[in-house]
Amino acid sequence: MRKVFFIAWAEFRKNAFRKRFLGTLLLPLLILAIAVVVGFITASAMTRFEGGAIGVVDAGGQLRDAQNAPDAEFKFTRYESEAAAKADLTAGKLLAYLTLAPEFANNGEVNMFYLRDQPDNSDLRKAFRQYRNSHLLAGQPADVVARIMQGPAFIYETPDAARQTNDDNLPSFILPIVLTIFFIMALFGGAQYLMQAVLDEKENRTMEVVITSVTPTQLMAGKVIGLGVVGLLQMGIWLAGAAIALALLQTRFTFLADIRIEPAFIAISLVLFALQYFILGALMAAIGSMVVDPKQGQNYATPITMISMLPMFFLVGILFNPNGLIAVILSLFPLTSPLTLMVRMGMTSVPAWQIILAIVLLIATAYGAIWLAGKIFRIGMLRFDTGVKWSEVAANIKF
Amino acid sequence: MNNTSIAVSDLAKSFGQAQAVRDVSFEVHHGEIFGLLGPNGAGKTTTIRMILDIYKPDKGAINVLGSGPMSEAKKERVGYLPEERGLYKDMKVEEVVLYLAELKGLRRDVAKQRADEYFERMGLAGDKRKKVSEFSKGMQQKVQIITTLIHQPELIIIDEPFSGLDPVNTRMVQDMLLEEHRKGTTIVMSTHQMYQVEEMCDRIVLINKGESVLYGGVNDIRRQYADNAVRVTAQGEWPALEGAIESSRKGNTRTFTLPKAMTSQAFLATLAAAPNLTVESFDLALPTMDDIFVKVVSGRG
Repeated sequence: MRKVFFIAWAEFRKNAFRKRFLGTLLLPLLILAIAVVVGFITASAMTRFEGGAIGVVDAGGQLRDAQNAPDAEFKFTRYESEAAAKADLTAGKLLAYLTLAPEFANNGEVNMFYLRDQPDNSDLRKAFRQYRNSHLLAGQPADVVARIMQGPAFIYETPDAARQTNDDNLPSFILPIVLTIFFIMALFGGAQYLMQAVLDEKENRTMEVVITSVTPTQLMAGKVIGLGVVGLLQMGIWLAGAAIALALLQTRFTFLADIRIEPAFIAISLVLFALQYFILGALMAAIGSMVVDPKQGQNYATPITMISMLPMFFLVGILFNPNGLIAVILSLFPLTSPLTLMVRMGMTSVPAWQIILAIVLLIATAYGAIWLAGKIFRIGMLRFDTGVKWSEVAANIKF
Repeated sequence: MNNTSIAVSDLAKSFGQAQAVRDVSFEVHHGEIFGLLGPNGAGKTTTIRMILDIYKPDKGAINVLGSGPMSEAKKERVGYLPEERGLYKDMKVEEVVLYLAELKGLRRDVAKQRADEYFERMGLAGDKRKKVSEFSKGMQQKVQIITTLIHQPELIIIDEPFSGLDPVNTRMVQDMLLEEHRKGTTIVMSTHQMYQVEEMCDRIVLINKGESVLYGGVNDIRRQYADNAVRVTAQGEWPALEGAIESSRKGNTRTFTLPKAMTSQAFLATLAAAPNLTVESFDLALPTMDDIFVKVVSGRG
């Protein structure tokens, strides 16, 4: 065991202290940083419309009983003539003014006049709707007015109460998908490193010396653990970066404020991806031992990568029908289950049996993949001139 | 058993349809230099890999460093330099040596001290922090030798020690092996460079087409293959020599094959009796290992 950890540590050092790793590490952080900067610039461009005075030219008195809500960000002031409103707009006292069409009471048509920047966003429209409603509701009892003005509040809940969301934290659906993409990047990155690490032993012709110092199993285990830790470190740094970026953006965008991630989601994801890492890692290490150069390795790895990425191709289908047949099948098939389950868990309540069955299948597959990788490794590890063909593997595997 | 470092008997191994080793048996004694000979593809490397537990034999028994096959503990007592050998190209030389030494179970501080001694001796002390890829082939070979010896193995196995080496490095490897031999280390070398075998090996096994076909002490084997021939260097007038067939002549040295009935002493007496001939040297003309090798492998043995 000591040698396994020694190899793991050496592998970790070799990969984590390398320029290439820094690059992989920094690129997503850079993207996050750009997102934050762009977000802040956008936010600062938007702030002036987050509230202000709006004129309403209402000579006909179509909104004469309208009231501004006490906490409203946009305050509406009625004008008897457009000329007065225009004067105040020009003087900078108004952000914009609205004129009501003669048929406003029937069709709600409003014209908006502004100077330079169009102060149009949903918040303004919402505020105006409330202002108009206050006119229509004039004379009603206060509690009725309050209830109508507030509107219904939807809370979405599943029968088993496993998930509960409301209109305000819709972005919570998006985050799992973003996280899933991060996970996938780390996972394939890790598996790729593992293939290269095995191939390096062959290309450098150190394989034979190493496997007469330790057993092939110790060598594989050491590399899997070492590179797994590199992957975890990478994930950790990315997640921390994402958390910081989110925290920063939350200060400027109120709609992001309610984003939260369920601890259960994180826990299940970690289990799923650890198992997926063992499967992909074992297969990639096996491929590393089968091939003689990275290009050949890519060719061998492509089918496995493609199958693992299937949920991405079916993403739209999964998003619109998270409990449909395709989603369920992809949730159970070992190479695709972690990715599919994570996306679905963000969208809907996934039945517990599917998660448990998927994990059982993943464990069984991981066991099989490691067993297979061990066999392939022994066939391929000392083949320096030509790669090992799958047909050859099939012919030499003894069950 | 006490005197035996390696004992293999009736080894066989096939890969799919190809039978790499059919029937190989030999013993390597403690402290000797043992040659594992054979033409390309004879099964030498496969035999070595079975001894080292890289391959499992299909049949046969292997005892290494005491009874039983290779184990993890025994691996630390063996130094192996395979034919396909190399170093981690993008690592620093010192790091590679320390890494491989620690894999052999050496403590890092001990490894570091010994590595420094070797670097000093081999003239690499100033370059140890360079990357392997910056080293010339010869320098890399020195480093490979350090990694083979640094854990002070009791048994060294070298597959084709001299392949691809220039004369300077050949001599260096040879000297290193002889020095280890003087320390009492058992050495197994696989090669088809016969003059090295004659010079260095105590005993050999010759493997051909997966079978051990010749096995024993180098001198015994040469004597066994000698066909009653003598080599004479002499000045003057050679007499007519009845029965002896002159097989080669080079300056004043002539080689004669004697009839079965004639002993070398009788032949020497005849030469000594010749009035105008001064015998300067007289010895048995043993066949070279090269001759024997070709003879056995081409089926004329």
